[in-house]
Amino acid sequence: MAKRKQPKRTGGKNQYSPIRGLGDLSYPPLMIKSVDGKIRLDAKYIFLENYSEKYDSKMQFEHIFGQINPRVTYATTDRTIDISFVLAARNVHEAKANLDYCSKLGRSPYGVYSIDNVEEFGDEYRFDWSYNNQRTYVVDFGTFLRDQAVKVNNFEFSINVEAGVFDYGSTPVTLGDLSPDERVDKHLPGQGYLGGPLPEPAEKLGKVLDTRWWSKGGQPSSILGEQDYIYHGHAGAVYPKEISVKISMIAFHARPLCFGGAARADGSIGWSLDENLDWPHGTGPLAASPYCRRDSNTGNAQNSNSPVNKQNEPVEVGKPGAGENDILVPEGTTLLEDEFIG
Amino acid sequence: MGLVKRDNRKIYSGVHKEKSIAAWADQQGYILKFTHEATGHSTEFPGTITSFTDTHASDMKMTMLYKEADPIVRTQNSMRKISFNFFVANASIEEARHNARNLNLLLCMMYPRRDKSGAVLPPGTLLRVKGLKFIDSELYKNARIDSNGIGVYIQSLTYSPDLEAGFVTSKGTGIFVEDELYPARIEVAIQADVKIDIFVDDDWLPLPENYPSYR
Repeated sequence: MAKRKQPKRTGGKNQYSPIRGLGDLSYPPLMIKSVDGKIRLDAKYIFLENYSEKYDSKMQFEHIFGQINPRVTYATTDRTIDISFVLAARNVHEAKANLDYCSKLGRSPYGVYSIDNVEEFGDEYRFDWSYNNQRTYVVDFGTFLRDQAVKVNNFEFSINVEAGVFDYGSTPVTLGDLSPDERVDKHLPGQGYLGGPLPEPAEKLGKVLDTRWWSKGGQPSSILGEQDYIYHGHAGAVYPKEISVKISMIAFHARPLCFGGAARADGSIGWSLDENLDWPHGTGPLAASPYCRRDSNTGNAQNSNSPVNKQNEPVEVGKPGAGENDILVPEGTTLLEDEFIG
Repeated sequence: MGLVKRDNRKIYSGVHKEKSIAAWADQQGYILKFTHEATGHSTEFPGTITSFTDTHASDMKMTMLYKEADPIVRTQNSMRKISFNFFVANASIEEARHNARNLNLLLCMMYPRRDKSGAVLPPGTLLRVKGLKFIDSELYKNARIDSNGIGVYIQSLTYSPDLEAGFVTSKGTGIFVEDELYPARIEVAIQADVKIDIFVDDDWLPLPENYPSYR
């Protein structure tokens, strides 16, 4: 992470005030893209409902008769991230954008396939597909997740119907001066408009609003404000004002996570990622914690391009005490210690 | 210069300490300390434990005998498991950053120490936990045991912000110009298997008379 290009971390595409305004002022957007660059979701300001990370250590405990402690064999530590959030829509355009966002995200738990073989049978073709891999995504969400590689193992989409939907605008209208709400209020189904019929030909309200919205490049304008685009022209479709999304992800890392390890000098107790960065969460402008800094004898401590090297924070380092954790027993006593198999 | 040194992180003591729960923790001596056995790194938090359960269980092999009312019982093994929850509260962005670093170290402790070849070095992910006396090992009089608390293999650690409590935020001030987002309150839930420290007390048996002590 230390040498990566610093991306612009703003969001709010296809989002409107006040969500965008609030996000631009205070909150980080959720940014998700695939590692292969084929999928890039809009950076969204979300209403966070839940966030949790779980670290599960996989260990085998072998109980040996007569021993008080088991023999412990460490295998791995799984890190899973669960996030749930709400996407809210101020108008039809935002509601559609939210649904498109979820459509893209809904594909994420599926594998990536390729065509292995095509056989022709007369006018028909039979395809053999082969599974390639599970797509890896990179997620950014403020200091919680910084370019975190993940595989999505669960995606859940639900519509909060209670919050309402954007309906098809079936009301026939002319291009008069009435606002969309006034047009609907004054129209009685089967009876026409209060105060007499409007001149023909009458167009459907939803279609009128769609046309107005897209005539200005899909942006709010003087002829249709962002709060006025509340009916659409697709008969049979409803667009929810509020959507709940839950995603479960498994975190992946470029190197085995541990203290020491291949990237560190012999005997080092530094964090294995060796990036001069705290892990897993960001800590603002603070320099990396001492255990995350590089060992100076690896030769790159002073040469790193990491912005943390520009920081100078007092290092809080404990003094290693020889044998302070030793367990002392009377002479001649056999200490039964549990065995550890690495 | 040289290799990275042992990192012993304390609770927050910055300029906003008077607003922090850390002041109360210091005053009361309510400190929860985690020490990574393989590296000696340690991190501390105010002892805001909201739940604690200690389970001792035996796996017994029972053999039923004809005409005997009771079986012959033989203990195969005994196990001690603890689970506890605590929370970390952030009253200022400075404290939030400090606590984020402390929590980061705790999360890193879920991983072992490895050598250059990648082999896990003993004792793996064994941690020492100490705090509020019922998570402690200092009470065994005359017993020379580890003063950093009881040894645990954490099976599961869950980090979950309490979203109702809100966030401390700062826009674009992260080291990569990312937005800082710190929960005002973070719940940490831990489930662990306890390594029983074996030592010889005055009766030369591995467990002292007052084991397990909760006060």
